[in-house]
Amino acid sequence: MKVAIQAAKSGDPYLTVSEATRQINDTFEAHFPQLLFHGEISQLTVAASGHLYFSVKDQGAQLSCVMWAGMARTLAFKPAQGVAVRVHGRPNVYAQTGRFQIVVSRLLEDGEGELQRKFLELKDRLEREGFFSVERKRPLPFLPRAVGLVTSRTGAVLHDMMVKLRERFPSMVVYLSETRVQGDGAAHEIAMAIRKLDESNLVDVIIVARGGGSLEDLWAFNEEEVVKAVFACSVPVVSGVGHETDTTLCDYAADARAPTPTAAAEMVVPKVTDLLQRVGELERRLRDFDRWLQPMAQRLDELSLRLDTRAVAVLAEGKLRVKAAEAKLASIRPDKVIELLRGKVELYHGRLFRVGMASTDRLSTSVSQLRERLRRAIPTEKIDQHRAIVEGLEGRLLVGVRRGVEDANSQVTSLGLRLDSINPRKVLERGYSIVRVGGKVARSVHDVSGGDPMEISVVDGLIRGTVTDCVKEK
Amino acid sequence: MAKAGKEVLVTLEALLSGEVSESQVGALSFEQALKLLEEVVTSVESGSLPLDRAIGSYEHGTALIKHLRQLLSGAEEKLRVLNQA
Repeated sequence: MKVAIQAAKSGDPYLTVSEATRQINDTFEAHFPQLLFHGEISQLTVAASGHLYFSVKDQGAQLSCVMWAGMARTLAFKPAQGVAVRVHGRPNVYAQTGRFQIVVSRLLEDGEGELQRKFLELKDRLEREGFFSVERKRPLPFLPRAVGLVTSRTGAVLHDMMVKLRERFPSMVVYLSETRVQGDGAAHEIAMAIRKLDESNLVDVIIVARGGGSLEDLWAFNEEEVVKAVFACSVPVVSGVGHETDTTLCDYAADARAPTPTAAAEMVVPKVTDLLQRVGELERRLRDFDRWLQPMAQRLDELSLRLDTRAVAVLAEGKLRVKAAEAKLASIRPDKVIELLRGKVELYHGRLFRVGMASTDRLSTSVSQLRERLRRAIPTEKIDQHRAIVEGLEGRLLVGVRRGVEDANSQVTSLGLRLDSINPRKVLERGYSIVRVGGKVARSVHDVSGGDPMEISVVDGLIRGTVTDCVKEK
Repeated sequence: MAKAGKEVLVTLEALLSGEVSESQVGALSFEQALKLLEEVVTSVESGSLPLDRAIGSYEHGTALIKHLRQLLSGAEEKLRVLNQA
């Protein structure tokens, strides 16, 4: 093909850039009024204006394409990453940037994209072979001794993960097993890097990471070799490949999938501040002696309360019984019997008076008769008998009451003994002692200082001394 | 693969009966030591331990706290790179 390059009219053989661009475009137009080709869509961007910018590629080459908004609106399908298409367009150098591009006039869908199809096929097969089985997923370690990273040494991904790891756990040891993450042979390198970390026995968890990219860019993470290396790894693997929306077969094979590399870093190490807080809280509880003694003190209170209630009940019952006995006694006292009889005598006496005027003889006879009857009516023997019975009853009652009180006493005594057995003094008897400084119980090395006089209570007395030194236990 | 079974298993019972040496405590993983410490504190708080055992568990708890803090402390680590073969 022969292309005539026209020099500017001035005779200068050098063209201006604008003129050179114009001539190139004229040449393209003359030779490729319409270019037809097919390939896969990649790196698709929909601009705010509605224009579509994308690449169409095959294994060996790619062409940048643009489709104007007016044309894009008429498309019968939704262009997407990996979709195979047939393209009608003309080549053009965009003068402003010098970018070579195809201005697309027609875009036809060409079945499912080759890579997409390959991806799904591989996914189905590996799934059937059990590489993605959920039962096989292992939990991540709570706190790994060290973290392994499988990623590229260059680029933001490593840096971002290190920042996140240091932020959460500054002293975490991190081993990098570096690898290329894209291009021919990358899959083999990634698999090797995983195995190397695993065999080193240095790490408890491995992150396989890469930044976002197209399906082609991430392709290495879909390769069978990587899936198998992840599957075979003896420590849990977290996959942090691409952005949230990217999915790779490495994600399916890993024990956990993180939406981004940074998120993966967050998943594998806890925050050191949280852990320190937890340990601090447990330490505070362990050192809280009041809490230790609480259950013992409570038991003591309970027993003492039970003792009180019991003693009160026994005494009240005893009192009631004494009162009842007293009442019974009062109702059968001998003087009452005599009083009763005296009343009867007076009654007869009154009657005697009323019949007194009848006749002296009759009267005297009556009087002597009445006297006789009266004498018979006062049964001294019976009174004596009654008195004996009453006295017997009285004795038995007193014995009964005394026994009740003695029972109560012995119950009180036995409860007292039980109370004594849980007396804090017993603790002293076992060899523990209480240290007081300035009359206060010393619970901490902070309560005393060197030179303070101190009193040590032991079971049988006091030991006096002076504080010579305080050592705080860490 | 040699990693499985590497972790020492220590029960609360073994710890409190004094069968566990200081170096064994020092070899515990963070997770295990934290779990043991939680058990120690809970048993102490329940008041179910006799006094001498409570005192012993206080000492073991203190040793566990020391170990846990050690695991969390340390200078900022640098990235170590495994050489490519």
